[in-house]
Parts: sequence; structure tokens; C-alpha cells
Amino acid sequence: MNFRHFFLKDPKRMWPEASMLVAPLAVIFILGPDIYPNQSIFMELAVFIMLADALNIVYGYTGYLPFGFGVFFAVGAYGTAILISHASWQVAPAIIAGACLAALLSLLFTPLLRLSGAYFAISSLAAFEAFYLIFSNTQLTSLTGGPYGISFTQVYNANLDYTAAVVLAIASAIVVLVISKSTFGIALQAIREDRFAVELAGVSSLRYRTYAWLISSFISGIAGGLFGWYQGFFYPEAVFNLTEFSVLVIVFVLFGGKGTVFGPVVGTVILFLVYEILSLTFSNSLLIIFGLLLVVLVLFIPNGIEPLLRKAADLLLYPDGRD
Amino acid sequence: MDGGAVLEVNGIVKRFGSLEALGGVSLSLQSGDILGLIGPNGSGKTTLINVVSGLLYPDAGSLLLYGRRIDRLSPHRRSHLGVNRTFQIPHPFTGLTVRENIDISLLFGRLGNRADLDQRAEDILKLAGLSEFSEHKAGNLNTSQKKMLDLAKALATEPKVLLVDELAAGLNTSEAEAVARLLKEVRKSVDAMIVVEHVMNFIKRVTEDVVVLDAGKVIFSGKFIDAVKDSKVREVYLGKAGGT
Ligand SMILES: Nc1ncnc2c1ncn2[C@@H]1O[C@H](COP(=O)(O)OP(=O)(O)OP(=O)(O)O)[C@@H](O)[C@H]1O
Ligand SMILES: [Mg+2]
Repeated sequence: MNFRHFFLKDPKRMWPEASMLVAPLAVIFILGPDIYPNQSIFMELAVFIMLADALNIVYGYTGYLPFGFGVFFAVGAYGTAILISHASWQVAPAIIAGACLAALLSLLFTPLLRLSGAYFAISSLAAFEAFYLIFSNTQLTSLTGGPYGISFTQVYNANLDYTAAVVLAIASAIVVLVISKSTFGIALQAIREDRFAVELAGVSSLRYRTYAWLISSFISGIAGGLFGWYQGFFYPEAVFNLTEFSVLVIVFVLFGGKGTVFGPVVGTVILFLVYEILSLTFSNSLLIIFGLLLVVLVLFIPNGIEPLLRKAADLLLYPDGRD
Repeated sequence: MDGGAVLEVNGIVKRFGSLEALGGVSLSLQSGDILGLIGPNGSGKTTLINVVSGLLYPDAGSLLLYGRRIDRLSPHRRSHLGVNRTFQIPHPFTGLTVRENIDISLLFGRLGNRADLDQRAEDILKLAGLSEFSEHKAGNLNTSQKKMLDLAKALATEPKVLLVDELAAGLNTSEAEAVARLLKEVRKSVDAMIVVEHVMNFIKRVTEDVVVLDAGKVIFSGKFIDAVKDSKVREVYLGKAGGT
């Protein structure tokens, strides 16, 4: 990576956007649980924001959509749980190690980053299924708990976990902001636009896709570790949950706007809350509704609501038009 | 083998299914050369540029850059070694600004990570006549500006061998003239150049040395004035193109 010119423009120009990301999230996460006293919902929201940002880094910035990317979340959760329950690790290093494990797993995919998106999407699904079968296998019960789940309640601390998740959710949004303003991000955008021309400019598209992929799987792994910690005990299906931790996240990112800084965060906040409210009334038909939403999004607003919000904000802030 | 060649293309074969787009093409570039590569539509000119720049791998044959094999290297490695090209249909990064398009080449190109990034960017923008569009989105440029941006991006990697694919095609006479002058200017900063064009008058203005391709084979290699007289060239190329 190019550190002399890591930022092309003055990094101070990020402050306004950074504060526009941090302030609303801080308000939601600090006041939210007072208004609606159910911390676990806000905990999940933080986890989903991390996942949305993680997915955005691969899907939004490199154009690769790994359908089964929830596997990194699950590996992060299991890595954390196993290290704490079997090796009595402290929580923080266990979560970091779990995320490193997820990133290591993502490296196995890098040969596929040479291939077109479709192979990639399918192979990540295959990996998801394979790891589910491994972690839920009865033969491995002594290590993973197998189908009976894994417990590590000795370190349970909901408030601390919530605080950590909120801080890291905001941090992951900042990571996306920094990437988008860095030469790394510009290279990623160029790779997505034209994978031939970008190579001629001297960019190794494989290398930069791999970086993006590593960052993304690491963040997913962290989200998994924090989620697992909050549960204290989980079944394999709770973390290897394709609908929630892959499909739903894809919908959030598409709704908000892939490849943007604000889109995935805004999309997640709005749709997650809608999802939670609706799930109180129609639990079963909900996925159908979200499936339809996915189709509508892809067909009619492939860029999500971010560009619309941006226009609206421009109109509010500069009613006479921008210079 | 001629040790002094900048680029040697030896017996390059490229097939697309049953179509042999290049049937054993050989040519060589010495330092200071500008080689005009001409031939009718579909004769394999762009395919040869694609093979040399690394967007396609040859089925047979070899490429030597200053004596070093490059035919299995990825395009970014070749770019770092000094091979670059423009596209017949320009490839700008449409969502980025003109300046960012050039910055990518300056940052990641052959001499990447330079301290004088801004100065270089300004010089290249000026050369390509794009200074006033620096902050425009590349997608909003017109076709001839996009072609200039392609050239600017290639130059920003500071190439030693530059492959120019139909830069003047579709431009009006005065624009084409400007491009011819520009290419002569560019020649000073590169070691050797291949200029693909099917407008004969244009080639004449840029170089005397030409290679004529037809159906993937070199049918003539020599001086432009002799090519025009060559019976085979007249038949396959000038005949069809109407003798421009
Ligand atoms: N990617 C490809 N797949 C299949 N066939 C191809 C491909 N690229 C080129 N061809 C074919 O190879 C032959 C040579 O094409 P090429 O583009 O190299 O010709 P050209 O000399 O550049 O022509 P033009 O003057 O029209 O640009 C043509 O028959 C073309 O249809
Ligand atoms: Mg061509």
C-alpha cells in the first residue's frame, strides 16, 4: 500500500463526514435502550452495522458478492467461544484471535478473486455449508459442542459487550470512511470499474481485492465474537444463520447503497428497525417481504437510497444550489 | 537474437476458438522507434496490442522486453516494467475525476509513490489538453477527451514502450493533426512506440516504419512509401480501404 500518499486529499476534510456518522449513531445507541428498554435489539443493530460495513468493503468496493459471507461471522463467534471455554483466554484477545481466524479463512478464497463474481458467490456458499457441517458435527462435540451448542457464560458481561459493540460498530463505519478517502479506496473503485485498465495503471487487482477481503472478513469475525459473547451460549444454527447474517445484510447494504460510506449504515438502521417491528406481527411472511424488497431494490434502485438522501441533504443545506 | 531490441515479438499465435487472430506474428522495436502497425479491420492489430500489454495471453510465441521474457506476466507487472497502452475504445474510470484517473497511474505505476505527484499530474494534464477538466468526472468527457485521458493515464506510468491503438480514429482532421503532433512530443519521453491506425495519412505523419497485418499475418514490414507500392498490401489493405 502507498503510505506516502495514503490520502490524496487533506484527511481533515473527513471531519464533517465523520461527525455525521458518529453523532447519530451515538445518539441511537446511548438513548435507544432508554426509549425502548431492550438492549439486545440495539446490540444486534450494532452487530448488523459491522456486518453491513464489512460486506460493503467487499461487495461495494470490489464488486464481489459473497453470498455465504456469514461464514466469517460464525467462525469469529466459534473462535472466540472455543478460546474462552477451552483455553480460558481473556475476552478481548479471544475475539481478536477469532477474527484473525476468520481473516485466515478468507485467504483460502483469494485464488477465487481471479474468477468472476458468480463463482465467488457460489463458492462462499459452499464454504458456509462446509463449515456449518464441521462445527455442528457430533464428532467434534468435545471441541465445538457440536449440535448441542457451546457455552462460555463465565465471561458474560452484557453491558461491557454492548459498549464494545457500539464502539466497534462506529469504528467500522469510520474504517469505511477512511478507505473511501484513501488511495487504497480509489484503487478499489477503479478495480470495480475496469479491471483491465486498472492493471495497466500498475494496480495489482488481486492484491487490493485481497486486502479488502481480509479487512472485511476480520470485521465480520469481530462482529461474530461480540455476538457470541453476548449470547454466552449458542447453537450452531444461531451463528451459521444464512438468512440473518448473510441475506439480510445484503438487503441492508443494497437498500442503503453499496459502495458508499453512509448507505450501509443508514440502510441497516432503517431496515433493521422495520424488520424488528414487523417480526412482532408477521414472523413467517417477513422473509418473503424482504425477498421481494431485494428484487425491487435490484431492479429499481440498484444504487440504494444514499444518492437520494444526498440530494435531499444538498437541497436542505444549499437551497440555492451548490457553488 | 538482437540483444539491443527494446521489444521483441516472436511468433505470437493467438486463437479465439477456431479463429486464428494472430498466426505467428514477429516484429522488433529498437530504441527510438515508432512503428506504425496497419492493416484492415479484423486483421489482428488490437489483438497484438492486447497480447503485448498482457490483457490476453498468447497460445504460442514469446515476448521479450529488453531481453526479458514478459509473456506470462500479469498486466500490472508489465506496466511496472514499462509497457503501457491506450485503448481503441477508451477505458476511463468514469466515476472518478480526471485528476484521480491520472493519480492512480502516478501512484501505482512504474515509478509510484513519488514526491512530485502534483507537479507530474499537472504536466500530464497539460500535455493531454485536459487541465481545465481536472476535477470533472471522467465519464462526462467527450470521446476525443476520453482518448486523451487514456493517453494521459498511460503516460503517467512513465512507460518505456507505449502502444497506441487508433488514437486518431473518429477525430476530425484538425484534431487528428493535433494528436499526431502530440505523439511526436510523447516519443521524447518513451523509448519506443507502436502506433496502430488505419488512416494512412495519419501514420505517414507520425512515422516512416510500418508493419502491415492481414488476417493475423505480417504481410509487409518496411518503409511506408514502399508499403504503398507493395502489391500484396495494395490488394488486402489499400484496395479495401479505398487507397486513402
Ligand atoms: N475477445 C475476442 N474473442 C473472439 N474473437 C475476437 C476477440 N478479439 C478479437 N477477435 C477477433 O479477432 C480478429 C482480430 O481482431 P482485432 O480486434 O485484433 O482486429 P483489428 O485489426 O484491431 O481491427 P480493427 O481495425 O477493426 O480495430 C477479428 O476477427 C475479431 O473478431
Ligand atoms: Mg482494433
